[in-house]
Amino acid sequence: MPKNGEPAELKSVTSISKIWLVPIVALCMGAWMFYHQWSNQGPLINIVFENASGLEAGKTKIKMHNVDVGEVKTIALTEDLQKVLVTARMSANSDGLLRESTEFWSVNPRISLNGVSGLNTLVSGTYINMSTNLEGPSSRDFVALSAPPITPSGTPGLHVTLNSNAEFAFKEGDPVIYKGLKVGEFESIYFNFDERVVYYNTFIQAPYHKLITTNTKFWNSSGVQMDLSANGVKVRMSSIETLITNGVAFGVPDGMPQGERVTDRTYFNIHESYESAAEERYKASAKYVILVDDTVRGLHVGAPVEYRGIQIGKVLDINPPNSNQQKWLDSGVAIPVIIGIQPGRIEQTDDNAGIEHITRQMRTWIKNGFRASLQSGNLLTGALFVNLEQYPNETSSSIAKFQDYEVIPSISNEFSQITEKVSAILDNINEMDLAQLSVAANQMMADISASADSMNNTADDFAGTLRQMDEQNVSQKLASALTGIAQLTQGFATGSKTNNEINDTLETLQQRLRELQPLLLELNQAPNSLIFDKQRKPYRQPGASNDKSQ
Amino acid sequence: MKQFSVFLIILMLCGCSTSPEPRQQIYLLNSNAPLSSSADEDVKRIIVVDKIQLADYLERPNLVMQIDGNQLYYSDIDLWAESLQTDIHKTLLAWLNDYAKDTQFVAYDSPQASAKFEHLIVSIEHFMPTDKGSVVSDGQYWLVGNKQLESLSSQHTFAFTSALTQKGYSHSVTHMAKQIAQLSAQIVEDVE
Repeated sequence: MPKNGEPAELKSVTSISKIWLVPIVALCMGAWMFYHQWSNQGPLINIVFENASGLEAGKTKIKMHNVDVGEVKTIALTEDLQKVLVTARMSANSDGLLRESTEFWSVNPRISLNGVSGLNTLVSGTYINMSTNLEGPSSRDFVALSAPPITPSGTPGLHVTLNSNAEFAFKEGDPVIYKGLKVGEFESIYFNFDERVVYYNTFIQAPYHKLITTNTKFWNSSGVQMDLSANGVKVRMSSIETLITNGVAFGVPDGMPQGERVTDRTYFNIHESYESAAEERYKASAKYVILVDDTVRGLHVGAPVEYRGIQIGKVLDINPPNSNQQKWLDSGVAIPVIIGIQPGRIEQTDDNAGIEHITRQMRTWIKNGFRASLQSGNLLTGALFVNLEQYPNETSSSIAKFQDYEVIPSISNEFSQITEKVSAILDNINEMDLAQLSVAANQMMADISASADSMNNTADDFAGTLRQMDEQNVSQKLASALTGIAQLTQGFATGSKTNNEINDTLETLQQRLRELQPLLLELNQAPNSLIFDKQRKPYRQPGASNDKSQ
Repeated sequence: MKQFSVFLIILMLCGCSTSPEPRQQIYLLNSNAPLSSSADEDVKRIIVVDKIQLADYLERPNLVMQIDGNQLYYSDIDLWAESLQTDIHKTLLAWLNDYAKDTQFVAYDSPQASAKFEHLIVSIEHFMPTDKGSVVSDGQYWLVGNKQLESLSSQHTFAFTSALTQKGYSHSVTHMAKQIAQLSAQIVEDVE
């Protein structure tokens, strides 16, 4: 406090106005919001697309199970200008989802034979879908799929690889059928140029993947399959879906054990049909050769070998290479047909022991007359099969060999036997004395002509007899009958005696009925009035007009 | 036994003798009709009288009477001597020929009847006495042209009522025959 007369001491005052608190608080709040935004935003990822059709920066969402997990920030061309680089900001908690196996694809409306998808994007707009199986290291750079994956990542099931070198082909999305149910799809196709084989990566959905075992067979079930073979006509159809698309079916053929479960990416062959797949169950076979003297047209590889109607094997090869080409110009060359007799079909073990048992048995049978012949199994297609039969008269002491295979002797087939019989009949006809037959036939024809003339004469005589009968008797009788009828009708004519009598009788009858009518009426009213005294109704009669008593 | 049989026969005879049945009265309608004269050679017109068409209730042989306005009473003991249809036809034919001068009426069943002549068709609806002391008769008749001309005359109706001065069916039958004569006079007047 300054005293009197003393000059005031001036001090500079350095104070901050309280108004500055407002921008400071605002700055703090902005910094906090910036930090909050920065700390809560997800990672920035790059996705390479083939094109940016339908994608828009700042609008297109990234979804997983229809939940927004990110948003497209920028869209730009790649450096080589071939593709599109999309940068997207993911949500904060999506770090764990971004693995190398994570798949991205844009969702657009699609129409294909396998169905219609993505129709909701007509209203909502295109979005990017994401799926992951949470496997693999974390990643921020991805390459989008050109189309939605057949099986999204993480779907439970089993991947198997099917292969086929047949002419039929499948495409992505074609179904895998088990007993009519769609249990999987073809995912991708790979053609191996070295092997000339097509590989199909196929996914089998859970729980049906448990059905895939080591003995599982896959076969083509596309459309309607019609089989015209020696066994007849067979028509097979898997499902309605496979009528317009292709597809495969699988299963364990009858008679085979179920086998053991397989691991991922196991290889399986696609067979042409269930029958060809079922053939796989018999692995061992004892091979023999049949030397056929007749034509083998209609006989195919795989044709059945039957013994008394039971299939015991199949044809393995017809005229194998290097068999007898040098003898083609020789007459009477036999065509070798290799057959396999499968011990598994005749209740023997399907291994070498079964083959040895078959071999021993066959040697005995061949010596005792076991013979092979080609027979027609289907008259419509002319397909042949090999029939084995015992012919006791065809015994042999030794067994021939052809290229290390034992030979089952053959006999002529049905057509050849018929041809031989027809030839024999024609030979007999040729041996007949046709000249003598002709003379005898001429003589017989002359006798027949004479007999016909005699019959004509007899018929003429009979006609004359009938004519005389008509003239003499029938006409007289007819005239007599007509006369009688005329007399009869005259007797009943109007005014005749008979007519008058009938009229009189009818009039008399009518009169009697009229007289009886009162009695009948009375009896109708009182049936007992004939016996008992009836209670008569009062008699009434017309009165005079001036009589008041009535 | 013999006594019982005699008693039974006597009892039956007594039964037959009880309640004497009144005697039946038989009436003829055309008893007073004029006798038909021989056919006139100069007659210009022949008309065939067809069978009379009677109402169903009149085809019974009993004489019928109308009582209490809408009921019919058939007498058990007063009967027509012949069919009323025939009786009326005869009476009508007799009176028609009696009244007619230039026309001859022949019965439908006479040898003279032919399809080429005109036909008289008479239909009677009522023809009976009443308990009120009168006799009524009504109906209609047609004169139908021959089939060659295909002509059809007009329809005529008739209705007669006579007061009875005496009671009983006999007096009624007399009046009924007079009404047939009246009908004949009306037909002849219409025809000629």
